[in-house]
Amino acid sequence: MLYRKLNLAFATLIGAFLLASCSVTTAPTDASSGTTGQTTDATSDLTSSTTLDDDEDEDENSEEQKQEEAVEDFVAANFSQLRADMSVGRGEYLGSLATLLAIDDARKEAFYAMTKNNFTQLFASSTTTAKDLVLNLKQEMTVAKI
Amino acid sequence: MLFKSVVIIVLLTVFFTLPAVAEPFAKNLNNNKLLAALVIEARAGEIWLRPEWRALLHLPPSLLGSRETSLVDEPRFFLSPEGKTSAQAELEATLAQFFTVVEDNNAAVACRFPARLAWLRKVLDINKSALPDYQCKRLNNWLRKLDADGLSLIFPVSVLNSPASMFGHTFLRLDRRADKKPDLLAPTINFAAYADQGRGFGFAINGVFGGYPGRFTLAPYYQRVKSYSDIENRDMWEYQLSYSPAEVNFMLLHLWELLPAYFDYYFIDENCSYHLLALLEVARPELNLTEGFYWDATPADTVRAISNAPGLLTKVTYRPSLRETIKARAEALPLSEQKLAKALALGELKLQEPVFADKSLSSQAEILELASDYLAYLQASRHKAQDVFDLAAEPAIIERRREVLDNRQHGLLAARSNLRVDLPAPQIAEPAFRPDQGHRGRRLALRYGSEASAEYLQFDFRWAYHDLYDPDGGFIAGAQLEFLAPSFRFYPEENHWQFEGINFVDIISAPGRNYFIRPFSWKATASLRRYQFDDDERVLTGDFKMAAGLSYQLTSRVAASVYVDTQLLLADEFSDSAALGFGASTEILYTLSDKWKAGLQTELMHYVEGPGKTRYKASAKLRRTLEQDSALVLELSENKEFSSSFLQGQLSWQYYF
Repeated sequence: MLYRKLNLAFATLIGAFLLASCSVTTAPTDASSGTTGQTTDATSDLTSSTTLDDDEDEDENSEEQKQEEAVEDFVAANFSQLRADMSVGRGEYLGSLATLLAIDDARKEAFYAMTKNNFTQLFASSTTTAKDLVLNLKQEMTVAKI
Repeated sequence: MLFKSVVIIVLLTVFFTLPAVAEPFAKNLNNNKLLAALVIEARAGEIWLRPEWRALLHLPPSLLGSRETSLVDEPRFFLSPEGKTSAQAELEATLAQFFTVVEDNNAAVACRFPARLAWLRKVLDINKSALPDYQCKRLNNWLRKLDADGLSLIFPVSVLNSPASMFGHTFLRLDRRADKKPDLLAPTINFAAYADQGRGFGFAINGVFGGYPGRFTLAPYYQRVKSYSDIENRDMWEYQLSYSPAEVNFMLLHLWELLPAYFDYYFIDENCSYHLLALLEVARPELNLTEGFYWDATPADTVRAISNAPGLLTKVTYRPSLRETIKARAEALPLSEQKLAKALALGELKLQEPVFADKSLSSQAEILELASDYLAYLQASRHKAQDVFDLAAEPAIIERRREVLDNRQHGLLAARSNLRVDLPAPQIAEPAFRPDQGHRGRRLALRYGSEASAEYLQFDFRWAYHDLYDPDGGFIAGAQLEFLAPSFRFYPEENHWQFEGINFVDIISAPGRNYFIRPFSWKATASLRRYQFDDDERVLTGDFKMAAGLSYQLTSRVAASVYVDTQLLLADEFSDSAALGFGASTEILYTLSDKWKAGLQTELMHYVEGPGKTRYKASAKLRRTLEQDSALVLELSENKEFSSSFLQGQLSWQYYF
């Protein structure tokens, strides 16, 4: 009788213990946000930087292209945070985007203010995608000479 | 599996030795001479015993008499067939292969094991010109891409509602301090189990027996912040470490060696925290961080090891979760404005309505910012009750609901951007204690008690981790997580020892509900403990309990919880050996000061089966923290267990280690 109890209790113990400690790779990656309207797949990014076979040939991808990709990845992954930052014209995500866009320190304040003032041009509607946003940003930046 | 590894090793050996044979004889002879000299030098100094080499091979701190085996389980990580168990064989094989010439530079051992090469060159004083000329293009591209000169350890705190993260998690962030690169853009190094399918029972079983490969992976920090802070609502702590750019570089050279390798992943000891410490040790073996972790490594212990190592910590930064941000924003506003923000977020109030539109511009801005944060919280998590029912709903309906929320969010943010007001960023107070400043998880307790006029001494042990009456600093409010806690009693009058019981698991998750965030509370227990049956007989009973309820933070010092409980008791005294019970329980916790905490608990259970059929307990507890690592607890209770009722009083001294 006591054995049965012990067995049961142990099964529970093991069940609980195994679930403890550290998290699982599947957890953060499938946590793509429903709020951006698009899924950012963290795994693709993980593997691209972990596989040795993936030889990034510098000659094919120019620095400019790489930077472009980095901007698009960042905007796609942080769309809703960027939208919130832009609505107030400040924030960590907006600051990081400015760095990615290689905006001079001297022009950053102007860039932040521009995103707030032209918010409705940047985000025409709730269906604006990350790609649209990058295009709109470029346009507004040219107009505002940033 | 074994066959496969043997084939790989054989192929590799053939692959690496073939071109060497084709080399001009003279150079080969020279190399062979030098190699022989180096091997003699290495043997004379027994350099494979040095901590640097042990760290590079991931040899764990050895227990007395146990055979030394590397934790790496990937055969390709070893150049010698005996490499996993012999540090010397691996060193000599590595040396030999540095001198063999390979056509594809990137596949050369020197480019695959750059950290080993760097260390051996330093220790054995090998001139670069003596080695074949290599261009490790891939490695150099990779290093340039990471572009790191600093290191931080990141600790997202635990969340009880997600069982896989009860103890928290740790990973490393590669900082670029020279040109102040924003933290969000920095790459992170994570160690995790790679599971093909979700987190089911199979996952748990495989996890404990090392059935999943664990790997190091890289991802930008913004992805981690998003999943931990924004979606799982976990606060994060960033511990900046005093690693020099050269040390960071060496660690990365070694990480390059590890990326294709896997470790069998074990939840308890060889988990994320352990392997990160091992990686940190590679660049600074004198830290000896893994020393203290023979049996288990919880992320909080890791962080403590980091903060205890002299001179390792330079700065600690707190990154509050979205939930904390909402709390702080709400607390800065009067209740009437909080109500407006919530109504706006839920779509119950239109922006044009005068109750909102007539407010001052700065009030409108504050309300809108809170409303959009709250809506983002609702969008990210599924805490709203109706979302539970969404699971059964049509995809089209879910899609439409998402659209509605998206439109509303867009409206709120557009309205905010229209207000020409600049508000400072919300001020969120950092908790008074960091996670590494809390008490340790293991606990010993000695108690003196009297129960139904029998006096006893009780000895308790607990493996992990925290209960509601332990000192709170550094832990999450309203969370309890206890594992493996056996206790023994000694009755001096009868000179008699008795096994009192064991708590296998005891979890309480009681986050306080506020006007915006309304989580549910729950409890779960599995234990063996003694209950008083007839004739003063205290019977060892299997005890399983589940409870669901609500908790409120009444004031900043007082928290109260109410639960509905179910319980299953297993003992031969019941007919069918089991009794199922239903009931309710309440708990009020009063934090008097940093050192004093008091609480009142009541519990009433009614059993479908069993003698007497009801049981209740009303108890009062008082804790006084003595030092960081010890506390005194006084407990008085009135009990009715089945047909007997009695008073109990206990005074215990608890020590955390």
